[in-house]
Amino acid sequence: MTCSTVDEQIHAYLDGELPEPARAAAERHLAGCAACRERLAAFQGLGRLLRRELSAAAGEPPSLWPAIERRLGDIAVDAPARVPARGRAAVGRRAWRAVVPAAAAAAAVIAAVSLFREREPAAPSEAPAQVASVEGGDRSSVVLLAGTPSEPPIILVTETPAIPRLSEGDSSL
Amino acid sequence: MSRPPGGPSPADHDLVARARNGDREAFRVLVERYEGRAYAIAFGLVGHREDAREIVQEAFLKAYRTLGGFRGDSSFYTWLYRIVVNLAIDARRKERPSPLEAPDRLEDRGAPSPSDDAYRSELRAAIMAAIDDLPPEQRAAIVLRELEGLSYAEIAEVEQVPIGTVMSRLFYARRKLQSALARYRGT
Repeated sequence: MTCSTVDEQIHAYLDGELPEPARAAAERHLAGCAACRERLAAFQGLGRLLRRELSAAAGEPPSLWPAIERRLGDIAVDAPARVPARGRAAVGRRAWRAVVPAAAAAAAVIAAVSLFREREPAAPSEAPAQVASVEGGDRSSVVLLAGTPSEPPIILVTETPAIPRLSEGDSSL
Repeated sequence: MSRPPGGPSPADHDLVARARNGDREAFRVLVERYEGRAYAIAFGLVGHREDAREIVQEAFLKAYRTLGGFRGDSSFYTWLYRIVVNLAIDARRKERPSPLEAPDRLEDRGAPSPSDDAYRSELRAAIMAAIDDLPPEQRAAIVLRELEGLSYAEIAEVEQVPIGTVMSRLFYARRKLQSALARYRGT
């Protein structure tokens, strides 16, 4: 192992993230290379400096629960996935009501595509799939993949995910 | 640096499940388990005690509201740390008198001379300035690694980037910090 190889791997070695056999090879090189040992020691010292000074500057960790509890107030957990057993039938009915207009929209799209196909010459078989999206009722929507002329259309009735994702509202790093 | 407790009793995922169903006592346990680590991360990113406390409170409130969206694909603490990091980066460091000059901690070090105080204050101010000069994503990576001791895989979860990107961020962050703090080497 050369100094430049160790230089590339020195952070992973320092952080305990260098797997064998590279770790053993790095240690063999470090044992005989004062310059690489010095680089390693410098990074180790930087880590110690950051931990020591930032920890001291931060002071004692706070006890935040009393303040958090006050601010929680009446805040409820957004619970899209939690469905009480006795509420399942009602939810099922709501979901079905959402699907009906979506299905109607899907039928309209199919009719339109069929009409289109009757009036137009067949497209080349390598033509990309045609995609149509129709908003249905409530949270549902219809995605119709008309496919190629040789493939039947595929209809997807989807429901917009109600579960918030972490990335929503958060700035990207 | 101690590792975040992944499997204590009760386990995080049990507490999350209970808190999601409105059990605030379970959420209290989660807050008390992670508030110190979350605060250390927030402080490392914003450099101000009051701001860091406010960020951690906000992070837990946001976590509580959005527990329904936590799917358990990652550990609770990497999910929480992501919220903390995002809030801290959004807040940025405000222009205030440096908390690094607070005398209470200096006195803990055993009869420092006035020159020691001055030196320590300068050192801490230099550290915070050097961290502040890093791009946010590098700042987050170095704080999560050096202060919290997260593994590359955990940092990748928090920052939602590949492990190779984490390695790159740490490489550049350390190189810049080392250059900025070269005159304090060995202290």
